[in-house]
Amino acid sequence: MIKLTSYTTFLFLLLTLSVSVKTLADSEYFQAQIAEPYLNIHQGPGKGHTVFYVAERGETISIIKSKTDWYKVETANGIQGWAHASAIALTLDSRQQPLDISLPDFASSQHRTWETGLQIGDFGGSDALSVYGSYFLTDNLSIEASYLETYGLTSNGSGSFIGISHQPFPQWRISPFVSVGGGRYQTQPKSNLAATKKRNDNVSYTAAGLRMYLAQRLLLRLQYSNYLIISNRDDDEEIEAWTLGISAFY
Amino acid sequence: MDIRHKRILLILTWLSFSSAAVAQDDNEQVIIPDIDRREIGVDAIDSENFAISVHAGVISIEDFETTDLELYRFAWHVSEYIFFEASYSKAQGDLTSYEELVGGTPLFVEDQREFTQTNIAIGFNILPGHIHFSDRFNFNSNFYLTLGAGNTEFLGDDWATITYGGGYQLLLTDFLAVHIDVRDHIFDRETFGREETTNNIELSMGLSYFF
Repeated sequence: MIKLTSYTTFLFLLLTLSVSVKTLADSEYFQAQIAEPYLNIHQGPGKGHTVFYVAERGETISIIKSKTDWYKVETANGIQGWAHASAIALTLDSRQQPLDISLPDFASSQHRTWETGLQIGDFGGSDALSVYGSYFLTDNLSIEASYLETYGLTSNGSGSFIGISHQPFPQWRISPFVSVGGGRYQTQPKSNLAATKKRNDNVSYTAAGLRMYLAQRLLLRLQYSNYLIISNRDDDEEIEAWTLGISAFY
Repeated sequence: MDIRHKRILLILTWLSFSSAAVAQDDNEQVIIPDIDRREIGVDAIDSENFAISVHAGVISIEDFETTDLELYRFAWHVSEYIFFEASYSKAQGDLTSYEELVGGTPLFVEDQREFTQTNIAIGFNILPGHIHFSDRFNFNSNFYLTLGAGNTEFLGDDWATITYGGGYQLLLTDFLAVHIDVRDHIFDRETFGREETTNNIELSMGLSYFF
């Protein structure tokens, strides 16, 4: 019961907060003029939502907000709906210039700032699952942070890594990259085994792979990594991993 | 930089500005532009591509009864069709049927029965729609499918988990939505000696906020 009450309170707070934030932001919107013969206005932010109003050339619209590639607009006679970015990009601003709106495409994928994704695969015979985020210093060079979890027959593991990645040909649709870096990897034996202790080791890695541009903001990423686990046992352990995943850029 | 240096810099800047102003006064401007231009950039348009949600529901933990569940989710809507989401959920497994029937010392302590899941999924909005409750109230809606992978912590171990499901989203406003979700979390566990595949089906309802 207590839990339920706290939930309701939380949701109520969230609601009031969001409403107040919205009213504050209502004051002034970006104005644009329709230059094409017409502008289709949809009921929702998607192609699947019906067109319920068509605004004409010369009408001024207020652009209220955006959601993915859709813009919420209000016409001079108070009709609110959603228009696609490609249509909004053809409207004109107060200086009669087309709006500077670009849709994510292959060209913009070459100049991305952020990239993030999830990958699944094999880590030396164990199942592997990893997430990563990259920040691009230039079109070619990026700093990459990743978190990996592995699930094996006798032990599980988790690791955090940071590295640097180089993509020599960002202009290719299927584009190779190489990375080097290091981090920490923790091995945790399964609980049904005779108690062996958790191990925490330093790791260095080298990786190579391919990125493939899919559509919009999406990339497919195939990666081979070679991890060198520097343990204080007799030998360092070398583990090969293959992962495949989907990423988005921004 | 210490305060003294900052002060000197400030004075210098002020001096240079004021001398520039004095210089300008000399050649009086003939035409005073009367432009009331609104310079709001396209970048200033508010975007709402992220959402956080809080769900409550039930989960059937295989062999460990059906229990309450709380779930927190973060989503990034990449396009009108595709989104990424990260979820964290918590539930408490109960006694197994064996423990109920045989009694005696339970097989697991309470802590081990805590069922926590973390997963990341990709979602597909497949059926966008528009709902009319009356001629005054109508809302946008979405039906979506998700596929993901993650981690289940249960019975003292971590298990690699595949998660798939679907849901229905009703947008009360542009930034507030009600969700009804069904997910199945599949993982193999060897807790009882041999490896077995378990399906853990979850049903939840929640509220999400776009920002």
